[in-house]
Amino acid sequence: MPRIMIKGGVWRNTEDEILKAAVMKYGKNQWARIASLLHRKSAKQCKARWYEWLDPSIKKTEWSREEEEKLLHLAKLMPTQWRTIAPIIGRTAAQCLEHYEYLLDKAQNREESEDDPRRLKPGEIDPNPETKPAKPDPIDMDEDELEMLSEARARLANTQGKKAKRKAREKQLEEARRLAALQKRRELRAAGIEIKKQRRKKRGVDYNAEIPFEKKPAPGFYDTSQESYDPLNPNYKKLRQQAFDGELRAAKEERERRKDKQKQKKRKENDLPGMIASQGNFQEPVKKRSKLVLPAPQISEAELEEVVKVGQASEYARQQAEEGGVQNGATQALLQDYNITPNTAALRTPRTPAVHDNILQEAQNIMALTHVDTPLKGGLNTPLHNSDFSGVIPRHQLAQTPNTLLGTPFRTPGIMGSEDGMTPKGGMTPQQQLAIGPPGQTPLRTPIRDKLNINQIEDFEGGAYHQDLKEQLRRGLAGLPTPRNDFEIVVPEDMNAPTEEQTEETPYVEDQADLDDQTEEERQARLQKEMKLRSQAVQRDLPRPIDVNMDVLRILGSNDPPLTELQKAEELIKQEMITMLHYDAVYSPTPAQLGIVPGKKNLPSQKSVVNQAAHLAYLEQNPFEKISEDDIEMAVTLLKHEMEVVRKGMGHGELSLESFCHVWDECYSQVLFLPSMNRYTRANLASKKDRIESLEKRLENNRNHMTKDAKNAAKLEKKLKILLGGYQSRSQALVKQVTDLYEQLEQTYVEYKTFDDLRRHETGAIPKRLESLKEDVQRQTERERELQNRYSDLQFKLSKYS
Amino acid sequence: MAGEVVVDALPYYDHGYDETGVRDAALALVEEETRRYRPTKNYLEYLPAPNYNAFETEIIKAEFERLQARLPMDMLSMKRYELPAPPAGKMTDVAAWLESVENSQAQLEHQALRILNLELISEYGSNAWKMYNDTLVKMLEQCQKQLQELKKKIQEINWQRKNEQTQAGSQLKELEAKWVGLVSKNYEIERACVELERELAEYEQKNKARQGKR
Repeated sequence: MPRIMIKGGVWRNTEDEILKAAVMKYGKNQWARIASLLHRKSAKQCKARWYEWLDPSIKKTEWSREEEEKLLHLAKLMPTQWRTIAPIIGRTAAQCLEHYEYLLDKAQNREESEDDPRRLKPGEIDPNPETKPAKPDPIDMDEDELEMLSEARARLANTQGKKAKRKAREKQLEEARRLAALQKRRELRAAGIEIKKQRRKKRGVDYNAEIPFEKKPAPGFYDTSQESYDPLNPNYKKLRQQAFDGELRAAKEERERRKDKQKQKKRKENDLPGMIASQGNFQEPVKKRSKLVLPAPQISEAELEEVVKVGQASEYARQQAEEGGVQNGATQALLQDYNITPNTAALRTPRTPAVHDNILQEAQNIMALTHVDTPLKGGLNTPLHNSDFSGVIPRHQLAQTPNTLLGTPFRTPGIMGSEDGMTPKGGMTPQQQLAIGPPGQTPLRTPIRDKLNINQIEDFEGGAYHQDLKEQLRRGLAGLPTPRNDFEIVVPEDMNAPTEEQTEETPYVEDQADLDDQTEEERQARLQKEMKLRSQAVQRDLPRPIDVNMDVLRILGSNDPPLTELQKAEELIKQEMITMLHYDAVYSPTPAQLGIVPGKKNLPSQKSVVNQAAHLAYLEQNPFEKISEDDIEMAVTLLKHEMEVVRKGMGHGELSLESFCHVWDECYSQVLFLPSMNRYTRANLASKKDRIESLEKRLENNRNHMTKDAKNAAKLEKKLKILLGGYQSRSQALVKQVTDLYEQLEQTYVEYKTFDDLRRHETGAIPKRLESLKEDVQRQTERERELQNRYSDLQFKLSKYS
Repeated sequence: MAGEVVVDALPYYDHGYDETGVRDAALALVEEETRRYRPTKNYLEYLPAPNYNAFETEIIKAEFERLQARLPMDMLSMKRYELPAPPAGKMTDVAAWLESVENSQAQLEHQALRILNLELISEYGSNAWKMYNDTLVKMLEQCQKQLQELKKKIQEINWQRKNEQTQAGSQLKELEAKWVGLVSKNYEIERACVELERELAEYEQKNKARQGKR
């Protein structure tokens, strides 16, 4: 029985080389002939090897993203039909299958592991060795391999077939015949016999005799027919050894070397990173990166150019206008500077919309489809995530770079790839475009640079823009600190200067801090002194009226009786009082006088400013006389004296605070506000209706206060509820737990008592039972003894008989 | 009569409590006892006589009456919080107006107090709640400890009971076994005695007969 040889196995390098050469010779149709060169492979295997691996048109590069997308998409449309899919993608079927499986593994996050069934185990034979790279040749090749190699070499070196050989032989013969004929003709010519060429060409051009399509040059101005070149009179300058030999080798080398050096130098200058890479032990990244896929720019080249052109044109126009020398001319107003990009700082940095990982998604979809249960069970279809079956080619999406810088109002991002600008055609307003704009664009667009207001405001979202500007300005101004009306009076230090000069003679220099303290003290003392000169109302910081009531002055009519002395004195006092009030209102105003309402942070209102002006105006007319300290002292003593007198006269001692309060309350109750007249009067002067009205007004006021307070309180309560709600719920839970526990405790206590009782019972019961049992036993033993006695008696009696 | 019954059950030693009917019988016994039991005298006589009207005020009395009549509680009158104007009939009465204004002032004061309290709560409330919760947690812990102790005590008692009863039980069992042995032994002796007596009687008869023959 002959040994059956099964061909196949791993392809070796020699085999690959032979196969390639053989394909070169025999073409891609004679696989049997090719296989005869490789005695370890069959024709089919050779063909497979060629079409799966060796064909130079096979792409062995890394898979690109588009290819992967396409592969997954097609695999979904035509499952397992790799031969159909492969040419569409441009790879071989085996490559497609392999990469598909790789992608699915990646989608499952499965690493290449030992127990992968696709991996070859030791001892296993590769089922399709055609798609694997060749195995390198061993240094010591087998006998039969060497034989195969030499035979193949011999056969393939013989590039000529039978026909070619015959043709070559014929050619050689003809050449020989031609040479012989030539020789013969030469000899005959030497002998003087001219033989005509026997063979004449019937058709065509005799290239030896004539020049085809020859054009004679036009005759020049001079007749050149007489000129002749004398070959025997050569130009010796051109016949030097140097000229014949060409350049010397050494010189050439020298030049090349110099050039090389220069080049190196240049490279050193330009290519620093390359230098670093070559000098340091720089390692090439292990994994080659795939090609960077960037979205096409949104602004086309043409548009950019246009922008530049416009800018240049405006710049040019400016220059011209300035050269004209007319400053502030009409042209100047029409030209604007667009050089600076408007506040780019305020722009939000755009973000490219996140791109979905289509490949992973698709791979997962396919996984879901393959791991499905039997359809006989019914139920829902396997859910797929945004899988598209719309066409053969997978839908493609590219991330667009959001364009914020050059968001000119009349340009809109158009369809990708359309070269000619993106100007909207027809009357499309930008608002509409915004509405239908592509997703992922930032809603906030660049402020438009339109300083001349050429565009109508409603053409774009300019209304909002202007408001935005206003808002911005307002916000900027709000950041300013509120003005504070506190002024510090700084007394010039010159007053102390001479004394200081005197002290400077001594070597001791006073510490600056001490000096400062001293001046501060002095200032304080001065202020206090000034304060003492002020009115009592200011000193005690009592509330003072906002408006000074001038009505207290008695205005003399023409027919009034002249004032008495007492009345005159009163008038004088009143006059003085009013002046003091004005003075105080100007120089030490109370917060109320400044119009500051407590609780509200507010600037001094308009009204207070007007008031201040009025006070000042009054003081201008009636200047405030400063009173010396002694005068005040005297006045105080006078007052005291007067008080003593009054007290003695009225016959009462020190009044208690309560009586003061009583009097105050009574007086206060007499004050009534008349809302209709907007003034205060005495209560007993007002009518009943007025009083009711006043009360109503007060009630109304109180109501307003109430609503405000209630709102406040409600807000506070709400806040507290949020703040303390957690604690409250926790405490509730705790309380419930505690009560539960107490109940349990009680029950357990009862149980405990019961068991205790039971135990007491049992301790009593045990001896009792024991005793009774013992008694029983005792009785039985006694009885036994009795019975035994009786028995022995009987026995004895019986023995007597027997 | 109740005192005469001596309970001498030893549940850890005795068996048969789980058999059917035993429990019912026991329950029936308890039932019968409760039916028969009459508290003859006031067992609370060592306590002073209660004074049921100690806390009764007018308001509580009225409330109890309302409860007896099963009437719903009056809603809290919110009228004064709305700061009402005087009633329609007294629109021209100065005193009524004064009253309502005073009421409004009182309410304003109340509101101010409320706000004050709320502010105080907002400042100290969280701390106070925390303290309260801490106390509660402590109480809870204490309770749990107590409960644990009680349970332990119960277990101990039961343990003791079991020990005592098993100890006594072994004694009892021994005695019982002894008793049974004695009883059976006595019985056999008695029977043997009877046999002997019978034999003796026979012999006597024979003797008599023989003597008679002689």
